[in-house]
Amino acid sequence: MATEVLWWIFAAAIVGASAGVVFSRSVLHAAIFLIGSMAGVGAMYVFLTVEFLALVQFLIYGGAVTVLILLALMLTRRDAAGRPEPVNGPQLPFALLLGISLVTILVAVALDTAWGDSGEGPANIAIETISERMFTGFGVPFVLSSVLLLVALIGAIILARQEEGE
Amino acid sequence: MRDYTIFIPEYIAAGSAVGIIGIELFWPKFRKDWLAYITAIAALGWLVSGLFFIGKDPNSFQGLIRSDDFTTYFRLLAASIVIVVALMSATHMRTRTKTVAEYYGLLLVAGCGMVYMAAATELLTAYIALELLSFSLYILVGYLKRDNLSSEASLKYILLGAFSSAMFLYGMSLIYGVTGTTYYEGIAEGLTARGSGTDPAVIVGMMLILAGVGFKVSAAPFHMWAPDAYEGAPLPITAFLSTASKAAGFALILRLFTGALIVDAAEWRWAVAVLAAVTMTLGNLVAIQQSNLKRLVAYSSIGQVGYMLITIAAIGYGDAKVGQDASSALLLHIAGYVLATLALFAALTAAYNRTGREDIPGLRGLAETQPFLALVITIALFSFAGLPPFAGFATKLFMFQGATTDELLWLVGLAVLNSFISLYYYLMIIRQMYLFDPVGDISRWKVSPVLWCLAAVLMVGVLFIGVYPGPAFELTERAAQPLFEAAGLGSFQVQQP
Repeated sequence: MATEVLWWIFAAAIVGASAGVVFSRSVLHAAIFLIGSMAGVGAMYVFLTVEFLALVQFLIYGGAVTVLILLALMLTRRDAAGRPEPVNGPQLPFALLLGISLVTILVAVALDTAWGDSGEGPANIAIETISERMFTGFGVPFVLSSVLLLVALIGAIILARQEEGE
Repeated sequence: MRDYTIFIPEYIAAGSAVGIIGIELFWPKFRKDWLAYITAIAALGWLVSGLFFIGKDPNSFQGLIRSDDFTTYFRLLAASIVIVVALMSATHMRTRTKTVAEYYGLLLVAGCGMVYMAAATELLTAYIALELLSFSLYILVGYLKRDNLSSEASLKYILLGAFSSAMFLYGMSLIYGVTGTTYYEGIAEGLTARGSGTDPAVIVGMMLILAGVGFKVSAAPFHMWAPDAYEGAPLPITAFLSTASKAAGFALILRLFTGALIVDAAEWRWAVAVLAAVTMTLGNLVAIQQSNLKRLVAYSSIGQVGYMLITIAAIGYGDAKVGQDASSALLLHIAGYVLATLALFAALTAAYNRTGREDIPGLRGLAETQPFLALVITIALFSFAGLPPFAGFATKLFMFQGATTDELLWLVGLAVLNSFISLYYYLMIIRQMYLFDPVGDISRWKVSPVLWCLAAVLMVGVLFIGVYPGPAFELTERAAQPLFEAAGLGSFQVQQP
């Protein structure tokens, strides 16, 4: 019971923080809200007793990625103070309509579907099992994603590289 | 038993990519056009190593990657496209950037991504392969950093690409949530086991996946990125975008929809049919108003995607026999389309290198100053429109024939109507070349020998498939065969042409 109440509190917090990302008028504030949202998802993983995922979520998404975003914002923008910016365009009504209908559909789908249930609740999965799945069972996507990261790295270098005459 | 030999062709391609980047890193004065020729040679090695896989027994790597004739077909296609695009780029990119090694490296890696999109039989692998191709393309589109249009195109492509990936992933997660597996075979089993009454999550998941891959092949209404990306990209990359990324998208769609989602075909086939109708009509109607050549080709290729989607809808409506015919015809059409597009772009690149203009009046009087290029462009455009005796006629005929089921007659009729619309704007280009006198310098000029040979070879290819499609048809029929064997849809006799 207590976990269930906590779960709902965290769920509401995640939704609130995510709304903050979208609606806050300064990019900087949005990035800070993003940390909250990511950390909330990490807490959800703790409830599901998948501790390794929770750890990864906190370390990589809550920590590294958002700090990187903040640093990039501070380094590339002239005013780091976070002055408000206009966020609404003429497509607001359409976006609203589309967003609301999408949410309705997804909520209806989530409630109306008999989800595949393995019969047992989530168990704490040992890190050995995860590494075995990742490096043997899913070795190919792992290698492919390392190539993908290499491509992303090369792309970042090409974008950031200063050429003569710039 | 893990058989690593099925990866050898891509080891060659990816290894050469790293080598090529290394050459310029340690030897910055290395001639830039030689890098293009090295890339072409590496891709040739890739192609030759791919030839050894023809007719070999299908081989699955842990249920993730399948090496069969279908994979081999797309491997040969990817390698050929990379060869042509690399040769096209040699003189084009030489004067436009200071460093080109990454350009050629990424070209090879993008080709590998395409192969694994065709080979993947598991959702995560397919998704990562798709991203591998997309990431490489984002960078290649924006490679001309000092050109604002190129950077703008790249940014738009990245944003919309990320959006479409998110949709694809969401769809994947819904399907996974219902079936509990990401393997195509497992998904098909899971969906069958659920019996009657499809879950809403499956339907929404399929729609999201369809929207995600629809973005990648630029089907309307998910086509917004295509004209901008085509316009901003360097010309050879526009050629690569309109051939490799579309072929790869259809490879993924074919594998996924025949291997996993065919079980619930009733839920997605109408959506594909509607998508096809909207895509071809919108592509062709908007193409009429374009004055920039690249944008025109973008919209015309959107129209072509519409025709190709008919076969996917037919796979949903028909039985395994129809599916087999439709998908082998689709593979043949892709081959013909790729040949014609590459021929068109080889000629356009040569013209652009000379005139520096990419609007349609820039081709004015080309028949006078460079009759060979005008001929190649004309043949490529007639092939797009589907006039005999060019490739487009034969392949479209097979495609519409294979896709004709009772439910889809209206769609095939619409496609034929659209082909006539497309003829109008193709003829506008041809009119500029043949009926007007050239402006300015009216002396004849020479095309560089590499581009000349390239255009000639591709033109002969277009004519060959158009006049004598038999051998190519047999090839694609064999390539399409594993799709329906793997799905376990019963043993039916494959029709001989």
